[in-house]
Amino acid sequence: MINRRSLLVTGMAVAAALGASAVGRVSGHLDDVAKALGIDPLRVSSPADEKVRVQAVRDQALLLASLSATQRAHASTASALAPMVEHAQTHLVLLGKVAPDDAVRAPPTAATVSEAIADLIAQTAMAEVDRTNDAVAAVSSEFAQLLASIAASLSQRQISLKTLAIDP
Amino acid sequence: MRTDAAVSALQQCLALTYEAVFTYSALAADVVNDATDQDIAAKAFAEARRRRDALLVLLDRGGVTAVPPKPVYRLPEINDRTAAITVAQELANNSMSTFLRAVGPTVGPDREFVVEALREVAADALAWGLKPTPLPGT
Repeated sequence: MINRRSLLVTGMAVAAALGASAVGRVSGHLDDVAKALGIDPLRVSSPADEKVRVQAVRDQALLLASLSATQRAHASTASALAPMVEHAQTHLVLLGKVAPDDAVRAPPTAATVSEAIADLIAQTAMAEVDRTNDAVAAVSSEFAQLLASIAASLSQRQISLKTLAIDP
Repeated sequence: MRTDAAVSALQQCLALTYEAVFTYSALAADVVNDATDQDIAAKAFAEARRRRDALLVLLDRGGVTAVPPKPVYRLPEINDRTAAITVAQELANNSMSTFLRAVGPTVGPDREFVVEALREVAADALAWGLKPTPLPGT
């Protein structure tokens, strides 16, 4: 069985190598994403890290659900949000989430595009702060790197969302 | 207690940050025809200088002698905006990977600094035309 270290390193390397293009070719299901990236769910050895991982999966799944719900509610945002959805799927896979979680329900999407984007920005900002704190506290250095890189990606996503808010 | 690996990673961040200060300063001077680019370069220069100073303080607090800057950094010839943007993008990519590498071996305030630096550099990289990625720095 592949160990946590090699899994993470492999996962990050494969994700970096394939990037969004590989993820974009899949149908949108997390198990397909995992298959495309050639990785299994992440396993962490420290109980403290495992607690963080479980919470991070919940948060990131909620972000993904919110992005998808916004795409459905406001079709004009669909193409602009598509790369963010792909990144969110990659994050979930690298955090060890393969099967879609039916229990995750996005909050109701706002009636206007600008309000919906503002909600996504706020949600992404909160997740960025949480992943940053998680990265600082992580026991495993590889897990810390993954969380830090996800936080950086969320930082970029906020800028993309703000650009979308200005020119929806 | 800092490990040797943590000290080495922070020194690499500092060396890269010296180079960033030099490069952004040159870019701010060279990208003279575009006010937006000038603003971006000037902001990047100020941010790099702030990170350089913060790294010097971090290393000094740990009783570590910081690596010195090089007397000069060799830049490719910058004849037009495209060349300038290419240099900036390469520097942004190097910065992201250097700060991400430093996350693993560091702990506490050191890790806090490099994670924050990674986030800032990843966000600023978009201003140079780089696309968002799922895992900046990898």
